Amino acid sequence: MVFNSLVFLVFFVVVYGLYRALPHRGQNLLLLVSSYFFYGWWDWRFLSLIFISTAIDYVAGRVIGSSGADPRRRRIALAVSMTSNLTILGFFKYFNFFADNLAALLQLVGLPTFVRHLDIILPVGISFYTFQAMSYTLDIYRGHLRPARSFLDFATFVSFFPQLVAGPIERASHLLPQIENPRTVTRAGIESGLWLIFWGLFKKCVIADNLAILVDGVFGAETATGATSLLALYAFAFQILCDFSGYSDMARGLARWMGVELMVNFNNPYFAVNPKDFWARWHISLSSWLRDYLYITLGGNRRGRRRTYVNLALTMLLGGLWHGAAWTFVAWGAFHGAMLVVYHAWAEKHVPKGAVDSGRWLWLRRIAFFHLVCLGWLFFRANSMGQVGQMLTNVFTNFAWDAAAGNMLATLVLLCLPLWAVQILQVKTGTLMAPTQLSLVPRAALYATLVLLLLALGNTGGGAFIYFQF
Amino acid sequence: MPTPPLHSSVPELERAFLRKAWWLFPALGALAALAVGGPFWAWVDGQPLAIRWAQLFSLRAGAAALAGLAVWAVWFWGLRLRRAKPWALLLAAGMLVGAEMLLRSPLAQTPLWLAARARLDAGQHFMREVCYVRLEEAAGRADDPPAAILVGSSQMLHGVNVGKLAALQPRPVIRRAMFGMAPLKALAMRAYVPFRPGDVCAMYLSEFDFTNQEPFPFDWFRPYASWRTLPDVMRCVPKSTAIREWRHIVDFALAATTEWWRARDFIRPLVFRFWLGGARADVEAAPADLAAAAAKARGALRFSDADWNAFRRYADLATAQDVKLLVFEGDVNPAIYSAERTQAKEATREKVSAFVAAGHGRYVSLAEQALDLGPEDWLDMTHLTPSGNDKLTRRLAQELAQP
Repeated sequence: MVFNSLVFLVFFVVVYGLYRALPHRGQNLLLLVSSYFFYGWWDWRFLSLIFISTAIDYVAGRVIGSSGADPRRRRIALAVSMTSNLTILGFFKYFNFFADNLAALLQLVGLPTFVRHLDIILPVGISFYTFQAMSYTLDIYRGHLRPARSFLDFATFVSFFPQLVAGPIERASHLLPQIENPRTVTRAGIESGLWLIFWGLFKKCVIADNLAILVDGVFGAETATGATSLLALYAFAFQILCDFSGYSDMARGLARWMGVELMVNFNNPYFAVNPKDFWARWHISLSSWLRDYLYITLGGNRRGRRRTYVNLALTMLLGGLWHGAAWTFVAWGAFHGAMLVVYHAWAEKHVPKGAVDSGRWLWLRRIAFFHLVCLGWLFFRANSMGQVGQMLTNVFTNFAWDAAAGNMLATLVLLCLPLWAVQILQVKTGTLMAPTQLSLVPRAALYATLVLLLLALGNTGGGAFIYFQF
Repeated sequence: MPTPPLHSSVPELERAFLRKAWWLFPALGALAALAVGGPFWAWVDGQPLAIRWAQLFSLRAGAAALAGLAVWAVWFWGLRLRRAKPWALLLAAGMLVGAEMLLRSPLAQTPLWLAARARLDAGQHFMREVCYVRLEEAAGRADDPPAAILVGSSQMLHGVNVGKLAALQPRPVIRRAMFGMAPLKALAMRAYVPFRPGDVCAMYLSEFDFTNQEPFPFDWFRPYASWRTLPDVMRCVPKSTAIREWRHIVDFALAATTEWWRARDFIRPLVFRFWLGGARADVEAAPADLAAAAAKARGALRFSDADWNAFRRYADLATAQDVKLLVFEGDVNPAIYSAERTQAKEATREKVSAFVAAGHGRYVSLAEQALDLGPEDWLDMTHLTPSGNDKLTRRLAQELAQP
């Protein structure tokens, strides 16, 4: 069940009607049941995975939290939690990747293959809820959080349906108290939530799904000119932004309707001027998770300059692998890791601490860095590393601008215009909710335009979100 | 010197924009008028743009510039309104109603369907026909004498030469035959068939139209959806189909409500082929693999109750409007005849002829038609060649010429 489907609309209307009528404990039970129903709609067999993960982490959390004086027991409980979560994730997501590569390696050196490819279905959103559950036990272990008292509350935290399959990856310290305590639904929450749902739906159905047609046409073609390859890359940059941030916006909007505040996951990432800035704006819930639980655990920047660079590169490499079991994702992670290392080395000497990015070259720097991000997206989207090389070669040796490229550019600009207008407003005012603060005429015009474009151009197929596969 | 703040509030930003860029509003108004005058039609037709800048100083451009200034003034005035009141939602609703009325008006209908037609691919026959029908509908039916209206599938579309038919008998001929138009689809499209008292509705029906039909072809219904026909269609569809297809019924209802949804399949090509023209190929009906088509056509036949119900409803509604039915029994290439098909053909003949004869018009069986169609008259399994077309057209004209 995806947010951009009629089935979800019916589901949400029923759930929300009941939700508003129930007391707090009843609301939590309803959220748990409806979240399991929401997830089971894809494949009910995978409900067992969420339940097992939830049960292990709940027990581990209780053990870690209740035995503060016994470090050994706490370490064992944490190890059980981490091992079980990573085993589930590793098996379903990475088994075939490692098996296939090991087999290829063995074949290369002339040894017999002893591992074989298994027909494993990747459970939707496994990386998201696994990371969310892991943060819970890690936070308790670090003393940042007390264990959940009620299994119902904890299970609701793990499976909260607005963000279950594609984030934001919430921290227990942020979401769990909201589940545990009675929630208030305010008129402001309903209004701002409505905008977020609507804007997210627009980004997904109008921009991302339509750009996907351009992108798939070029990346799936036998041959493409440099011009269409470049345009497809730009189109993919906006497709993935709108697809993923659209889901996050809808998740935040739906949660607000239930009195729950989810974290901001995207903050106009293509307005970033450097890699550090980019990762403070793109998939914020994942980048902060990786920073807090991986980078800092590896030592962060406390063990000297070289070790800091190694930690940065390793964190981004694993971040790339988190996105998918393919070398293209590893290359994408490595590319961003390399950018971060180079930027940190440069910034240490040239950027004073606390400096604010502004000035006349700001837009030029944004555009230049956007192109570096696009280069990274080429690794991310390409079907193989060979295609990466071929498309890059075409851009520099066979650009060949023609009518098809001109038409593609016109389509790209037409689809992205509303996005750019809203983003510029958000950046100029420094608030993501700026569109809701516009005066009468522009606000009404914006709402009406979005409705008309959704009607006329929105994809109605209930297309899946790119990040579901992660 | 104090550092300017990094961000402005939204109202501050709006005020600054309106003060600095006030000239943009009349300029955009004048440019819009210029575009509508000439380049717009070139773009609609997929032709190279030719701009005549002198028209920027015409009366129309001046009026459009003033309209632009009015927008600027209303925007400025709107800055004073209190935010708590739901004016924005009301104004947005008003804008949506205005946009709906605009899209339904001939001012937008003609360029929309022309532009869509100019951007279709060679194989998009159905969409091309929709553009044709919607353009005719936008133009409206002339104040002419009672007409012969051709309704039916591509068998009718390819089987009858409209020009020749008009020349061979006194009635004007209106074409409403479409690819795949079985009776349920014909009923769904009824709002776009301009019946008038005294008209004759000519149909070409056989077991081919009443068997193996899609249960609820919503994508076919969409461009013709109307609240005038939706209840009729729903009455014809079995309840089990209605339950199974509830999502598509919502789609149908939305299309019946707003032209922006109804025309969406035709607005999308405008975005995806913004600068590209279409492929203006002649309509070809012959499928590439005749053997495969023949094998498929010889398969099991499943009678469609929905299409039978729809035919009866269609006939009743036509009769109520004083429109006479002229139903020609349809045929298919004898190469796909089978015992099952022959049986279905006879059963359909019996049902349809009895129903039509009961006060709805005239039924002309294959035996009565006596067209004597040979192998050379069949283009493929279901469509006629020009020679077959000539035979059917003349026979139909003969029937229409009778008082």
